[in-house]
Amino acid sequence: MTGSIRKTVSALAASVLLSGTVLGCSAGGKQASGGNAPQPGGQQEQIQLRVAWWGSQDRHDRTQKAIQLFQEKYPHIKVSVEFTGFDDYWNKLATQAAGQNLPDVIQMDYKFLSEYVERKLLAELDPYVQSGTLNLTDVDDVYLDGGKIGGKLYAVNLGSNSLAMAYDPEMFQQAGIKEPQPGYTWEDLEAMARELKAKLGQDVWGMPLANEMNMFKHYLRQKGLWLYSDDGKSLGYPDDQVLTDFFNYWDKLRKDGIVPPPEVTQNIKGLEDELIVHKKSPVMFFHSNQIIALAKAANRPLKLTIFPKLAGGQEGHFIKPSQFFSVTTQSKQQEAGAMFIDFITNDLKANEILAAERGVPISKKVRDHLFASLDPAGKEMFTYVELAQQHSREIHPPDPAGSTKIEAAFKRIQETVNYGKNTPEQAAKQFREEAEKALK
Amino acid sequence: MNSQADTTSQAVDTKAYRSGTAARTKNRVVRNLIGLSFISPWLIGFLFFTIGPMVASLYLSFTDYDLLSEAQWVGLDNYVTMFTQDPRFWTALKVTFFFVFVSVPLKLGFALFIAMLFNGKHRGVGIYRTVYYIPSIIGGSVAVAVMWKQLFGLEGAVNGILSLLHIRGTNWIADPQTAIWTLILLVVWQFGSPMLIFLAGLKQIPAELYEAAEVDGAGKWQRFAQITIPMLTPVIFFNLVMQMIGGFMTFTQSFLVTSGGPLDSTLFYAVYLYENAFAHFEMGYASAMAWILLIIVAVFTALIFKSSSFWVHYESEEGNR
Repeated sequence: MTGSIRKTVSALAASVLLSGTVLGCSAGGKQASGGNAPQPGGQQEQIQLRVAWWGSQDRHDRTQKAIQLFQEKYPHIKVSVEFTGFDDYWNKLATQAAGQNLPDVIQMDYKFLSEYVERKLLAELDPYVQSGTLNLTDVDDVYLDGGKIGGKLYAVNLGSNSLAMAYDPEMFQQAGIKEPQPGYTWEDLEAMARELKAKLGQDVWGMPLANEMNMFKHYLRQKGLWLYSDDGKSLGYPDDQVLTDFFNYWDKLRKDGIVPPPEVTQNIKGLEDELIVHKKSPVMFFHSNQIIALAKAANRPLKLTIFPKLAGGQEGHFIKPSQFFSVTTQSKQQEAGAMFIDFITNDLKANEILAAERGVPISKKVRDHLFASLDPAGKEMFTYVELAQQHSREIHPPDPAGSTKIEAAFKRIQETVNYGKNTPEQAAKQFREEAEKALK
Repeated sequence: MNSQADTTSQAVDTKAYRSGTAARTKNRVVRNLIGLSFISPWLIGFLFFTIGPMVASLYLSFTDYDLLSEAQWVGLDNYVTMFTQDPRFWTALKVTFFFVFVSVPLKLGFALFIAMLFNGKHRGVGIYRTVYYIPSIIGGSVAVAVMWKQLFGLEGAVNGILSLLHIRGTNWIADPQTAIWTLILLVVWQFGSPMLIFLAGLKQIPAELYEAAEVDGAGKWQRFAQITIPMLTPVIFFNLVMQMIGGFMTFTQSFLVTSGGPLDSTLFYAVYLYENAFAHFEMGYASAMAWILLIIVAVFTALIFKSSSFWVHYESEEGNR
């Protein structure tokens, strides 16, 4: 009898385990699914739309509120959201792409646009524009060009921005120094930083140590050069002296104690930690659309101005699509994705919530509607982009394949210079070696 | 004469014999199948989540694969590049070896020390054991990493305490000389698991040995060196192997606290592997790195095993060298 009891018990145990596994599998998954079952009563069928973006907490909150409005307007579409910080976003996306599991709508950056288009991961949006699903009639072509490859539209600009220098007018006043006026040069910037450091005391730096890639690209543009050659197979500037000069400028300031060494800035992981927020620096170099979150974190008014000019050089600024939304080719709801992008671009109430945090909106109607209701930071951003436009020229071509490796190499080499382990000349040579290897 | 009967009976016997074997074989097969079906969940998991990916990774290590398009066969290119054209590979090896050979002995030493402290029967020792075990559970988490960064940052608690002693501390996390030591400290802090195993080992040492030694006039250190350590060698052996393997694979602490920096001073092998795989989309190269790590760990484990016959003393092996 023991045999058959044991058999019964083990059969029971096995079936419990089996059903547990099956139930466990179906209950897994973070998002509550809306399912694709057709509604009774002949309504439109329920669509489940996945949207992914990166950003600060402020952006997450705003975007989610805007999405609620979207769901109210289109009750048959349920949106499930996936958001992260910037660093993790691209790793996650690459893994999802490999697993054929990309979200339907993804936030896209100019840096990765050509790579994703090349790998056929982004859907062409022109058919939806033509059919009217994606209404771009209030948008100037100049704002759409950044999202076009080979003349086809793959990504819709969510807001324009440009590189900017934020500064605290109060700290300038405290130091008794005049605010920088557009047209000031690199020499003026250096003199200004030294004076600020002298006047504001030991705990404050003249400005951040900003010898990063964005700044270098700006400098290259001012010299009429670009980082990559036309065919994208080698570096675009022939003489290492350019990079040596660039590194030298900042190295001098670091050695003289005007700008902070990396030990001070290593732990900065978000806008909230930045030096200017804690009054440790009167200026900050960043993208103009970040002013909204920065002013919030700093809790005081900050102003924007353009980067320093190169005496005798060209304009370095360009109007950048700060980010885009794209529809992925792996999506089974591409039309719904296009509707979502249309909503974000054109809906007035949604844009009131988003408050141009991603940059100046591309639709003229939205811009005009928003301007009056913006807070001071928002107004500052709008007026700044107009100023930057006057000092801009055309955007650079999209980065070639291998650019992520090059940016990582630059960051590493920049670090060795900032830690004093490398001379600017050595660093420039090393960068060329690593970059040419990555572009081969 | 009896041949017919014999043959028949022989035939009958043979048949019985065969049916016996057949029945036994069938029985055995059925028993094996039942056993297999009970372990099938684990077996399927093992096949699909361990063996399968290992084989795939071995294949990928000979390809150029960027996750988004087809894998392209490149033969031994990845391995050649790794050894001849990648200075950061050697940096990663150097950093990892340094980390393993410093942190593992420290961790085990500390674990043993604490285990001996907790071997007593004083009041509350159970609570102490639990409390000191907690770091090893939460140690690999993001929250602890963030806290560690804060503790050792420029304005962190450690510098705060140092300033009370009028010592001006640097940013321990951002200084290339000290960053690795903050990670070693973090890992040594998670000594809970080896501590518990040492504790179990300590409790197995027969008390008579100590009593006999005391009677013979052995002092505390002599008792430790001549009784505790030799009796503990199997446990030390186990902990050494496990901790060393874990040490080579350390990832989370470096990735979260220092991100492999500054200046690659904490570029653990696993962190560099991750960077190649997910930041540079070079899955083939990363797979090759993974297999090299496997070989390295296997070699060291084999070395420890081989050496064990010289220093590990098993109670049961009387007269064994």
